[in-house]
Amino acid sequence: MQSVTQRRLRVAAALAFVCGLGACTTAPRGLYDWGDYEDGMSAQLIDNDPNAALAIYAQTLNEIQQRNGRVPPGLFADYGFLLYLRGDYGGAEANFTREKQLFPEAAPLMDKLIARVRQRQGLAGPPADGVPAPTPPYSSSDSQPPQR
Amino acid sequence: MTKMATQRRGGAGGAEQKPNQAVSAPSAPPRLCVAILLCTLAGCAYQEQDYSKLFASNPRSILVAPVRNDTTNLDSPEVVEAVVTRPLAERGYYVFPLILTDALFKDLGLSEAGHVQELQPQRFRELFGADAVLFVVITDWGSKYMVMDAAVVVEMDFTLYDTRSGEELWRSSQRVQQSTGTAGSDPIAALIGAAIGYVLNETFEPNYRPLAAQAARQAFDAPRSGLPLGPYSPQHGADRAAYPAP
Repeated sequence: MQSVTQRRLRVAAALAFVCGLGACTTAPRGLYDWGDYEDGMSAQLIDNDPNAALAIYAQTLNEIQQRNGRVPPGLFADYGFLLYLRGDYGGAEANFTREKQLFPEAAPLMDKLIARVRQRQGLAGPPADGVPAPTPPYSSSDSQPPQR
Repeated sequence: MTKMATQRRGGAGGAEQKPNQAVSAPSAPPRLCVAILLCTLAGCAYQEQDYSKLFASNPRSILVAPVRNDTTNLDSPEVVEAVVTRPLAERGYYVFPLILTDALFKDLGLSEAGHVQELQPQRFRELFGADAVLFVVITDWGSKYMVMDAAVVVEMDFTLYDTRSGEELWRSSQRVQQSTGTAGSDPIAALIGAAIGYVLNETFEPNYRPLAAQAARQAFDAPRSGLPLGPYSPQHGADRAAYPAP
């Protein structure tokens, strides 16, 4: 004969099991440690707040390092870009370099950006073609027609 | 209580049929119509596409172009941009940094997503070195009010292009709907619930982010119609049989 508490425990265990299964199916073990990366993106893209984005990215990178997690694609590069906006060219280049070390797919873009950063610093390096320097504030005029 | 409704609306939720009546002539045509309609709906939700071009292209990196907005909601593209990277990267692809690329597009004088999506796919290889470019178009976004219920809806189209050939590699359309959760219960309570939901939604902007994230996950993760696992996934290449490629 079971007591009420025993039965409750059983129900609770069954529920926990089902929930656990649900968690397994909806969130398989991820490739990366995301931290608050998406919040950082929202801070810049939605709220237009580069300082908030920079703070979130710095903290996220710190926490990932502490957890020994895998840094997701783009995090170092975006962080580097936010540092660039602040005028921290050394920090920008260091993070662009880490991005391409982690993800060789990023190398063409990172190399162009690093060349631009060095140009800004007055260091050597020929101007890179294709990607213009990200010069804040952006000259985001719609005057240029779409190139076909 | 809230509940999620996904795109598969053409399920078995139709009217009950009595088996003996199936042969009687007068009622047969409408029933046939219903059957055809259900099949068509199911067909829409279950898009079979040919993956052979995608397998041949085998992209390593994907650039998410600025999201085009075909609705009147002004904030929606940025909400979508912030939630697309994670599910895409978790499929095993390198995804270009959104804050950086967004700024670079603006610098190129391409602040309008519509203009960016008119570019030849090859341009995204020249500019960023991307293997593929993902165009996202928001086709529906907002609150819908029905007699007994209210719902928040997010609907978008995803299209992936090869940046070498310019060819389309993959596409998916997703609709995610979150009802305020009153349908199916006591009708009076439902009516009141819808009214309350309406008032609340008038005051507070509903949180679209989880819905947008779900739409993206559905698009990329869907069995047989999503994106095969990319090079950063340990199972890259092993899941090819799971996608139709005649």
